Amino acid sequence: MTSTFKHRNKSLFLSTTLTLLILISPGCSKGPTPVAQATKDKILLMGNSGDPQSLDPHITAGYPEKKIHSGLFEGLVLMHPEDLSPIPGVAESWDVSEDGKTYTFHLRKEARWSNGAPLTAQDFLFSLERVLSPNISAPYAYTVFLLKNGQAYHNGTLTDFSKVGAKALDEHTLQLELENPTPYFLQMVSQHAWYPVHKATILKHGDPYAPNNPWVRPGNHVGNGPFALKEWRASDVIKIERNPHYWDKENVHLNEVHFFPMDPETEERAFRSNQLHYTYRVVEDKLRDLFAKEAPELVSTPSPIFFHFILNTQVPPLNDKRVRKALSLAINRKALTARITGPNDSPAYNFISPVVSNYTPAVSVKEDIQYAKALLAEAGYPNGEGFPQVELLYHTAEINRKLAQAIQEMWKKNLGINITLQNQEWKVVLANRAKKQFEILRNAWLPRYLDANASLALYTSDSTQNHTSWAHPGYDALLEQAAAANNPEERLSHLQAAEAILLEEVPIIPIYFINSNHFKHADIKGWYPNALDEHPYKFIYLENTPS
Amino acid sequence: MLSFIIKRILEAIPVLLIIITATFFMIRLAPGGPFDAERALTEEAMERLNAYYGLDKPLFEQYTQYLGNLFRGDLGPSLKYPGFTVSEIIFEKIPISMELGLYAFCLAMLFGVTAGVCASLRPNTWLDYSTMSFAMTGICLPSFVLGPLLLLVFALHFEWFNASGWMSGTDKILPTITLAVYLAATLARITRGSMLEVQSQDYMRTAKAKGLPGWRVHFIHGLRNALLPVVSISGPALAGLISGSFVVETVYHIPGLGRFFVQAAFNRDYSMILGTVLFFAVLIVMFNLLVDIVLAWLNPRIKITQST
Repeated sequence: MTSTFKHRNKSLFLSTTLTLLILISPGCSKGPTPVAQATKDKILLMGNSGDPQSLDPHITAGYPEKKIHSGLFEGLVLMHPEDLSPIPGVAESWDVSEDGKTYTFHLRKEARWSNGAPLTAQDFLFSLERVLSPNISAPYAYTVFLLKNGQAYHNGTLTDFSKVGAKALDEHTLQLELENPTPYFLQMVSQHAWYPVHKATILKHGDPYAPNNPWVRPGNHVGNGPFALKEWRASDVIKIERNPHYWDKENVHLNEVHFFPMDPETEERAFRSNQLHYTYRVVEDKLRDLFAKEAPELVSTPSPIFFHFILNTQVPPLNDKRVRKALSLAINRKALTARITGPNDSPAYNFISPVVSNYTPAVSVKEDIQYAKALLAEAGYPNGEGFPQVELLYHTAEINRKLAQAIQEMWKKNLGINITLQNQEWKVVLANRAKKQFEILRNAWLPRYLDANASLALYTSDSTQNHTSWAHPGYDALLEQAAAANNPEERLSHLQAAEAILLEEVPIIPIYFINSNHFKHADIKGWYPNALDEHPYKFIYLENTPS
Repeated sequence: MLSFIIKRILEAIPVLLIIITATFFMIRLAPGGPFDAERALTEEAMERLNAYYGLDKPLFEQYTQYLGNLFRGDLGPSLKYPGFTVSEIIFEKIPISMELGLYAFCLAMLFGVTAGVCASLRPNTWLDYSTMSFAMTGICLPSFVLGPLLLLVFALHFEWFNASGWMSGTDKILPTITLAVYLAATLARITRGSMLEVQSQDYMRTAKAKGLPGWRVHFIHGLRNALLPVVSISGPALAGLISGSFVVETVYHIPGLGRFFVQAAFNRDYSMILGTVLFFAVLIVMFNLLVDIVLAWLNPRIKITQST
């Protein structure tokens, strides 16, 4: 028995040592860094925050999904990354009717799906019908409501899709008729809800409206973008590779793009150890240091991302607009962007970011502590006396905590009111938001197109994003008038009037506009900073750049 | 032996049932659902999704349906990864967590037991104090501190390793060390205590009196008995290393099941939470059974049939 034990001890020792040696042995040789190798192989390595909800462009809403979809699919038009102007995608040209309500897209005959099948106007019709269908839970179906009768079809009040403003005049001509002349229509058409999906593939794998149709899996997936799905390992990596059937394949410089779902700290470490070319974001806390050091790897671009507070206008004392206004006027936004947020973020005195070039606000928030105090006194709370318990809710994130504390302090100092802070997990916040169980809620919004409508439409009484319980018939009417307006000046005046109502009624408090921040490796070329953070992969190429 | 194993497996069934039941109802009590998102869906769209996945039925009916499916070996579809099933994700991820857990376990055993034995051979000397100080540091240093620290020094400063991923052999060194340190430190302390206790036993004195060489007395007679408490904790510890490597998997971006386990909870991916909890529960039950068998093999005085 003793000898057996001795023997076993020995083998245990040997096997463990061997395991460790096997583990360590590959470390002895040091080759090129993953980024250097990937640059050589023309593979772009990107951090991408989290796993996508799906690779079906019709049922997803998030930004990580968008980054992958834009490689796998292509809409009728693209936005040029330099100036965000519309450039031909699947459509090689388009005509717009005089009233701005009918767009005729001429699809390129050489357009193909990644399985080689031809891409026709019928494919777009199937896709538009699918995304608008009441049977599929498409979060961005509303972006297709621009089509004539689109909303009616989605609501189920119209069941005949042929009455929706989308027609295939022939195999390669698609005519879209809109409810209203829409100056931002071509921007919308480049969004992922408008991407075509391959009917035969989806039907082959099951119900086209089922949320878990397995057509999105590697091996099944078919798209029409510059890249095709190669591999998807959940929580690990998504790899897309050059699509040999893409119409413009000669101008695609990358062989593959790899997306890694990583949290910001992990992706920064991966970037710094040369494992990523590009990060999804930068931890806010580090921005000030990075700016001070003028870190060349940091790219920071003004964007329309809008940080704000949502007020529940049903609960007292926030049901009194004087109180809501006082809260807004007593925040020193400049102090927040000067000390807490990223140093390039800008204070928001209205709802539309300055990057929206076709809009100029008519009125803005004018911070005024005395006036705020007077308003509060008028509402029955002189110097904050008798002000009931109000809670500010935010989801767990360091930047949210710092901002909430600073604003809590400002309200205490300027108005004499005590606001309690409540920090909850993201899904709990979403559940409370849906049930309107909050008083003041931190929120941020990334408009997907550059137009005042992208932000203002959120607060109409029928918007699913309006969580404030605030409804204003005048506001709704102004947005409808703006949509129907025939000239830019008239449209602008309606939008300005609508924004003025929001500023007067204060269902939300604007705080600041956030820059989009990334770490970008010097090897990445053909990348242009732009407000929508749109970087079509076919413009990007990799070139070894000595550091 | 066989009847013992069968008996233990049968005993495990109600345990697993309780775990599944508790998990099922607890996750449904948590606010928020799988389809809540920043871009809020319309009520109708939300209802359609809930109906599609059967989440609109009464909770008890969902529970019995889940058990029925489970009985047929179906863990259901993932709610976060449409088009993928829970079983396929678990079976894709578990080899990675197993590998990481096993490496860490071997490393912890090797260093922990060796350090414990060394300390016990020279009690109250510098060797003992320094080994135990290291062990204490290891116990006190959480992996979310040690992991980034090791990365900072060895990946970012010296550039010896990649900072993330699980691809090349070298990628596995830092996560293994990070995960192993706590167990190694615990094992070192347990081994030391146990060895010191064993050394005062009569049979050890007899072995010495027989004139056996010192190494034989310590390692053959002493260590074998001193290892009993080490083996007892090794089963749950190994299961813990495999299932509890969430922090290490996140810090090093390792696509293992530990990360999934926690992310599933954040995503409210009900079927995935249940699947991973069940899987880890089975793992723990299995390892405990394995430990009982190994204990009996190490110490013939423990009779399997009596020990239960």
